[in-house]
Amino acid sequence: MRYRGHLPAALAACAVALPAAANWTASGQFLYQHREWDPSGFTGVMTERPVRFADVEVFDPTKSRNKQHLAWGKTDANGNFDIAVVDSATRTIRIRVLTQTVQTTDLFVKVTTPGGSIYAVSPSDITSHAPTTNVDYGTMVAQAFTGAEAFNILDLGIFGADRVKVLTGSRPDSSKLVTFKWASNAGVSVSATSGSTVTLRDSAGYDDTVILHEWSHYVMNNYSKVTNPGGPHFLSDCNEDPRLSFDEARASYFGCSVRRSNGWPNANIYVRTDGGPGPGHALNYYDLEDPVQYFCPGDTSEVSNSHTMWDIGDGTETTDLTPGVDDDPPDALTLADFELWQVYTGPMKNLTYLTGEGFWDGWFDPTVANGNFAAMKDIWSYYAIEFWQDASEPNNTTATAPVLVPNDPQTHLTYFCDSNGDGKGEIDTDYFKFTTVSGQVYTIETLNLLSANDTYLELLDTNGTTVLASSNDRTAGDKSSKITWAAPRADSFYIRSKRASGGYTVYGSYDLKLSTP
Amino acid sequence: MITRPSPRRQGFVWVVLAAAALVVSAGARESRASEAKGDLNLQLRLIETVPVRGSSGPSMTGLARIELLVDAFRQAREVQVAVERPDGTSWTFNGRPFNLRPDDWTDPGGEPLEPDGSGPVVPARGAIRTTIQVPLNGAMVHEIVVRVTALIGDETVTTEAYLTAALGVAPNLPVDDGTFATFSLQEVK
Repeated sequence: MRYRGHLPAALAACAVALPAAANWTASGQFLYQHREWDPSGFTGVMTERPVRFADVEVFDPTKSRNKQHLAWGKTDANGNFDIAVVDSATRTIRIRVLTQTVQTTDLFVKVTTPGGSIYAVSPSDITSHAPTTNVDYGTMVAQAFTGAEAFNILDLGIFGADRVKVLTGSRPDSSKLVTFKWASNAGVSVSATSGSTVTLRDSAGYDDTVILHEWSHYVMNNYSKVTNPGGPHFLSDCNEDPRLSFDEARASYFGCSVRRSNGWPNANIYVRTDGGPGPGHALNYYDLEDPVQYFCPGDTSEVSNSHTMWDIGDGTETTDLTPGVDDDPPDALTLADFELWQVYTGPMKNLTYLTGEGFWDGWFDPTVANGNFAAMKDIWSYYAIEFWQDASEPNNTTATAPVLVPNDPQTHLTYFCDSNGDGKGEIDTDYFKFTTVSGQVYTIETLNLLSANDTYLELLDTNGTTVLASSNDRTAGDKSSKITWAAPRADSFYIRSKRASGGYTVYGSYDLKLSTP
Repeated sequence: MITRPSPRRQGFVWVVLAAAALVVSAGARESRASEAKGDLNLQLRLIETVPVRGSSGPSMTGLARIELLVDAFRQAREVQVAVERPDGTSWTFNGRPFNLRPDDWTDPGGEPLEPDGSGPVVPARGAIRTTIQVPLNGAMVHEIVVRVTALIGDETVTTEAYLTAALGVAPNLPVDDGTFATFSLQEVK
């Protein structure tokens, strides 16, 4: 910590003490050092930010613990405090600012050590303080690597609480008290969130986007619903569990949206560092507006999913790497974050599994009715996430089955039906018809499965009901399907394609191919 | 003979069932979401800082024993380790480079790795472990960056981790009395 200009000020204040009453005032300002960052890690620039809305205690450190306390106060939005102390003794006094917000009635954020101790910073004691002497502590700055990290975490939690207030009308209440657990030497190498407790990696004290990402998990735990199975996951993984890819994407989007809503720079960047001093130290980063970096088709990538949600609100005003431009990809939407919030906290809460397709359906759910289908489709299709009808619909019965011609180019399909055209999906079964030559061998197969798809193929006889052959998984670990079959006669037969049972999703896209040797 | 639980027992059963339902519903509501990893990841653990016998005072010397755990999304080959200072310069001892000799790599459970001519291999979604010793020169809090480089496919991928090792001085930690963990503000001269 740096203690700037306080003791001389305090001594001066002592000299002009007001002897009128046996009470005094403690005043001053607490700041903390913030390490600025960009995609390359830390820039090397330190700024000083106010310790906002934090508890401040005045106490006598020479007394036993239960007799130490003299007065409580709190800092304001600029880190200033002004505390009236009722006192009648000449004593040693100490002041400390804490990483808790008990003195602010509608704010429930705290930062603790893994063992539960609240962080505090204190300037030097003032000895022989007379009970009528005001003390101006001046400006006190908590410094990086000696405590400022805890106040950075607290500040982000408070900004987060205010973001929730914008979305809901009030900050999270006491039942949603968020606790950040962090220490520079706790041996924690991966940040994680459970319930209302965010446990941060030792080196994450200034990883602002990681902190806000984890905080977002806490928000969703408390306001929405979470079915993320957890466990290790990788930005490069294109085949994540769709429950995980959605939840992690939502946390990345929502955390960065706090930065976007406050107009902070690099709002579109998620950066993880090793926490080392000086410039650099980025371990990895990703840009929520870069459609190439970590590109994965389908909704089983947390990066792709986060791009889609981010882009709903991204516009020319976004404080990203290219101010004035709507990126990733150009789209027609620049909507308020509330539109997504009402999906998370409305229809999605009723789902058994929360995945990308649940978000899509929630967006078009009549209770939300966010609309903008064409613009949404533009964004989602860029990542080959296709929650809409394919060109062969309606083909849900043998009567409406289109004709497939052997060896024609494969047909691109989705298991998504929208019979009423409201944008929200229904479970889909695709029928096709083909004409055979007696004795000819035919191969019917599904290929290029995306978005956690799992196909099940059936070959139906001319009557459209008798199953002649079927295929679920092509091989162990390959959820595509393949039927090889010799036609017993020249006739018309049907292909029925549907989602295999099980899994966490019901849509998904694929290609269907009918071929002969 | 069919026996029925007493009303009191039935009440107890309902309480247990209700409690179980609460646990299940709470479990469905929240999960332990963890931080996303990169293609190559490194965790460090300071095992100990050992002063060299006979050295003391500001010029004391010692060793930091550090455990490395390297994990990867895809298979990573030819794993190499370097020690640096936070500014990216090589770690030196008495002004000269030192020869880093990691202990034999093992799997996370301590079993030796299968021999591979090109060096240690991290299996896909797996991890390997070793220990290094870093010489320390001077009584101070030493800031150490360990950098790991590996081949993933045909691409060279690098990651790093940072830790501090206090030799002959107190580490930069707060005084924790079990209720408050306090850092002292220092005066600016």
